[in-house]
Amino acid sequence: MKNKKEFMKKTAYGLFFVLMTLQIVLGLVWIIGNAGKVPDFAETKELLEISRTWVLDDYVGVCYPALLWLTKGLESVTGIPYNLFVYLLQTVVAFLAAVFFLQKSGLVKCEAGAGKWRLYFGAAYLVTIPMAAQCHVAVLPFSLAASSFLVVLGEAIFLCKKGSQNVAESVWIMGGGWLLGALLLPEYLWLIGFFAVAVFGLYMWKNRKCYPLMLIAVAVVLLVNGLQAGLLQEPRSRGRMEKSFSGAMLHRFVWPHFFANKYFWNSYITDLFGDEELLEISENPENVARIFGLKMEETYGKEMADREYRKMVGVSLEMRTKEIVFAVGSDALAYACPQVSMDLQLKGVGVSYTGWNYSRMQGQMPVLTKYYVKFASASFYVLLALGCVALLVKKGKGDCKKEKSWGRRAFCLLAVLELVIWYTMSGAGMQDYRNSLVTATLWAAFMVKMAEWYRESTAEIVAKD
Amino acid sequence: MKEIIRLVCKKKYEILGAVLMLLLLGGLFWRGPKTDYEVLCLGDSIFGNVQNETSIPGLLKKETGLSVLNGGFGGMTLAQRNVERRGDIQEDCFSLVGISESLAAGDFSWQKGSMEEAVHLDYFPQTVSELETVSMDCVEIIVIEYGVNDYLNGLPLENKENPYDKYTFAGALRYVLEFLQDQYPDKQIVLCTPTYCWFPEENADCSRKNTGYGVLEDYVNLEKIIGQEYNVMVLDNYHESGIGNGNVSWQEYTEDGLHLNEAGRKLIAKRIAECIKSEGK
Repeated sequence: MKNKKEFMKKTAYGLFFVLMTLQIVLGLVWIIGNAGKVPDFAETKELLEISRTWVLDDYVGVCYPALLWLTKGLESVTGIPYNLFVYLLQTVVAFLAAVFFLQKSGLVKCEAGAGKWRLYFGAAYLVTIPMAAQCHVAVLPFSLAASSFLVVLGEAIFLCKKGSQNVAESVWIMGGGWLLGALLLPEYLWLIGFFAVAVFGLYMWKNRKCYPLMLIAVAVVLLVNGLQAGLLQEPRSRGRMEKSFSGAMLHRFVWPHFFANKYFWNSYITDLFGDEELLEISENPENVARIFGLKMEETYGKEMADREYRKMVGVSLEMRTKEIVFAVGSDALAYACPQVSMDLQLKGVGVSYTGWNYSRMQGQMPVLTKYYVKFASASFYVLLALGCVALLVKKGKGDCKKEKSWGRRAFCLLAVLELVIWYTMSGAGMQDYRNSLVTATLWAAFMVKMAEWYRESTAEIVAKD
Repeated sequence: MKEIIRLVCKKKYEILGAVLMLLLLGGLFWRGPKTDYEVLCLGDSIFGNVQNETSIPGLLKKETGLSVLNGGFGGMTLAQRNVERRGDIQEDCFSLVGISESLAAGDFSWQKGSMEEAVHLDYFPQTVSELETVSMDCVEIIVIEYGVNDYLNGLPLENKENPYDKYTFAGALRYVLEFLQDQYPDKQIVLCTPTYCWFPEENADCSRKNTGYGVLEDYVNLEKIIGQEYNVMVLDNYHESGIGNGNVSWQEYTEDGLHLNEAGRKLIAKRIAECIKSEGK
């Protein structure tokens, strides 16, 4: 019996090791092979243009165009293409953030020396998830923003652990990560902000003490973002509607029914948009911001447009309840488990940006991309199954209670939950996996943790023998 | 040798794990048997919109006795259209450029992943899965028939600064021909030009209606020149098929002025068959 257990655990650990190694190798080859190319995304063109003109709206943060401006400058001095600087920075930062997260969250326990390679190995696995690897070698802010979120999450777990009392350092790291994230992707002001403020609040409540440094950090981040919004961001300056809660609801609940619901729209809408235009808006979700919202806000002003959006949302919710519930549900599931949704979407299931993102990923190495993505998906299922078995065994042995990792799990769940809710409710029924990097990384971190458990179990068996 | 055996014994669990993994992944990657076709037809609605034996590929099979795969996607263009590279416009996956690249990579994930978002017809998923399983080793002839949608959508004819610009008709054609000749040097490529068409509702025809970059004949002439540049067979259905010549009315060969009826399809299939036979296939 003991031999059987030993055999199973060692085999499982071997599987974890081999599958993860293969993904890392494939991922590194893919990253190096694609480093010379800039994937053809509309956002990339826009960011490059912003780095020249500095005309920003509330959809773009100032940090990434600044980085492009800087690397373009380096390009003119050194002759090395700017994208190489960007990719190198993004990949190195992603790796360091992964190391930081795995270490601070206690997912990989490593004492000085011998255990370090496991930490680097785990981080390399996190960096080489296909959707993350694609963002590391693309001129897009998603990679750096996800890294900043991961740093904040790792530090938050560390801060709330017993015995970690260097509050000032934690506040600096979390505040810095939050600020960087918010200046890269404006929605991260809220996404990391909600998380960071909750953690700060929880920490102060738990210790029954007020930490002025935490309050100062929040104030600084809000002030810098206020300055960005006031001085640099000009809503509608890039041909899109202004970001707002009503606008997000319009995207979420009314698209793609702009044309199908046309008989229910009042004259404010029908006077402004003909059938052809409504059809065009219904066909492409980005047209909600580019055509519908922009025209509404320019004609009626922001306040009145918002009022009309809310009326339209009410009508849509009443008329299309089932479709909306289904679309919201499937988007939420897709955002909650991006590895599985990517695999299914590439097989033709669901509505998403996955096909498009994948076509940009194919780039110079379409055959390698095919095997890399398919291998990563297939190995994810195998590792997930092994991970679930490990969880069940752990639960049976009572190891879960011993470990006292509820804080870590709660923080990770909170992060995933807010990301899922945010992107599900602000998107227009089309999941975009580039917004799921943090969630995908957390799933990969779960695999790393389970691999660690198998390793520790086999080590225990060997020690007992 | 002894050391290797010792190492194998020491690492037996890892080796067993690796073997299990390979078996597991082999099962996951196995996509079923490949299908053998001798002729692969890539095109737009002229090939794709009829899926039975009276389609051009179906009739071609009857005329030549060769096995023919219908890889037509109605409404699609030779060149790519998404000039802004926006993620919510995904029809480019069904353009000739997209299909050729996917064919060479043996990966139709872009098409499958974009199926729901892209404007598509009912038969597209079936065509994609057929293309996915086609064994390119067995294909001898690739018949290409595109162009009318490039004209109707007013896609640019050429970019003088970039002759391989995939967002222009000529650039995309050059790119695809070079790409296919590079990937499949032993395959015969037959390039079919679009046929003459009428627009009954507008009381106009393709010789008068300029969609932005010229009339249909401009696209046809460019296609012929590029075909000759790359030494591929060009079947000029615009000038030589008899459709649109003299007093032929649109009802004789087309259903609506653009899409061929059975008589029109027979005529074109026969011309392609003759072309293939003349090459000794």
